[in-house]
Amino acid sequence: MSTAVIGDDAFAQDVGLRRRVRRELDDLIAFRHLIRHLVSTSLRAELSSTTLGFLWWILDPLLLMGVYYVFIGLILRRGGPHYPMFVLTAIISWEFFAKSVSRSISLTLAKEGSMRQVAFPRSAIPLAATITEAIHFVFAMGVLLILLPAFGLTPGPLAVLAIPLALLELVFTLGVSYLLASANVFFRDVKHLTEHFFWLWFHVSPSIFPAVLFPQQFLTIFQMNPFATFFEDLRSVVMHDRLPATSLLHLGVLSAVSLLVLAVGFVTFVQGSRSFAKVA
Amino acid sequence: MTTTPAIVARGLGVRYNLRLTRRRTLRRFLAEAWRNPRSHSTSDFWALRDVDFDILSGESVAIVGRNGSGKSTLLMAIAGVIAADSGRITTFGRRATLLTIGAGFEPELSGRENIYLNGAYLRLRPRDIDRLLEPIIEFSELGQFIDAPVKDYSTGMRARLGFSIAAHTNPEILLLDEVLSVGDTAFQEKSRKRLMELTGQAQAVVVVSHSLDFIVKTCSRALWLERGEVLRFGPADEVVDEYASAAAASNAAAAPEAPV
Repeated sequence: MSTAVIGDDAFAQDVGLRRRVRRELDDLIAFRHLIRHLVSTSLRAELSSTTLGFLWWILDPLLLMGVYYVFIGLILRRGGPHYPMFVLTAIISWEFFAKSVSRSISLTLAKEGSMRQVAFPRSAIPLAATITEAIHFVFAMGVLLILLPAFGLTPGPLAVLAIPLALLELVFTLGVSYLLASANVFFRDVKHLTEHFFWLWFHVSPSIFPAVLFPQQFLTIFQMNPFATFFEDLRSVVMHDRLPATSLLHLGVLSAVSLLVLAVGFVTFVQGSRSFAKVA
Repeated sequence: MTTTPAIVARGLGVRYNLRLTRRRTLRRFLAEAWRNPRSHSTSDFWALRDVDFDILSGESVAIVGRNGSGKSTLLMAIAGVIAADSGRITTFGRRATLLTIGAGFEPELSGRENIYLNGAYLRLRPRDIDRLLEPIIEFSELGQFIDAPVKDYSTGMRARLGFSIAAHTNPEILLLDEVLSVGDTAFQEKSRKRLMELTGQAQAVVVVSHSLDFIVKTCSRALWLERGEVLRFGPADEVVDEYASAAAASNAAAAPEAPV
């Protein structure tokens, strides 16, 4: 008698959450070809469905940058000569987060048919969605580094620190993606709420204004926003070749919080995914 | 036929929490919870209750029953895509492959790309699929259409491709939910032969079908589900006979359909 690998007791009631999470992690490794396939399918669909193809990966943030430059730079005459790069850095970082979450939400719904047929690890779906956006992010960061000298900014060796910052953001992003993707299967309102809340979140982060312009009495709350750190620190290392202004303690706390968000998100998703195929 | 078990169900129950799975908006969920905070148990619906059976390797078993009797839910529980809420279901195979009409394909991708995607869902490596590609395409009879997007396929073409992939990826347990009823007669006959080959190789096949003729010709045993419970499990021809006469009787009495 051979022992079963998939489709046996993975879903049985007496299997504890701890074992279920461990099995999900093992399955993610076993199904790595599926993850790769989901990523390449998404990327190829983008490339073939638009005339400009991968140019949109950078045109999207550039056009949004143009909007803010017209409003802030030209009409309000604020921001200074580096403003386009100032805002573009935040946009690229933000779009990685926001698009990962929205892609995870919609991909999890789109894979409903497969989820009703095959016992693959469902957590592969938001992971693949986030990896897809991480590829966009790397591409956009590359273009940003090329554009910087045109605005009189020369990236230096400290730009390498963008890598650990991006990894930290990846952990946070993946956690939020898992959380909202599973919530949205049961409550389809989540997608809409998320869109509006994220729009607000972006603008109360130091995205289009520097941190110093925000009301000082809200400073503590302001600093609790992970994107205050992500945006400002990314600018420091990429645009100005400076060490992040954020203290190591703060970065440590942010890392711990991000890991916690990922753990909670993953467990919630694994738990919720037991019922995904039942939702009609 | 060997006596090695392939699928064993003991006291299997699957519950649908209608509150979670039917109400898709947060507003209605909250309104419901506000008005009636303890309605939890009444919103539960047991699609399967106390289901016990053993299916052996090399056996092909049909599941019969009226709409809403839990046939598809049972196949999904065997495939491991939904959880058992009570009891347990164990499959002693490398993997169970479930085929349902119109599910599991990426419509924008070509048939060929979908073969690779399906293979990835079944945990096959790309180089394993390279090897299976030709037999799959040949069996599906799709010819040049294999490079057309699946969204342009007819239901029959999709079913042919789906069956062909499933039948060639060495499924130790193959679960078919009405997929063969959409193909033409020639393909149905070819698929039936292929199913016989699979059971000859000690693989287990479970089919849900409304074609009683197909069941009697293909399956050794049949399991009759009624409102989520096993009414009869025995030789296919006997169970089918009883089921057919019961269905005729209830039609004559114009009994209303079971809920869900």
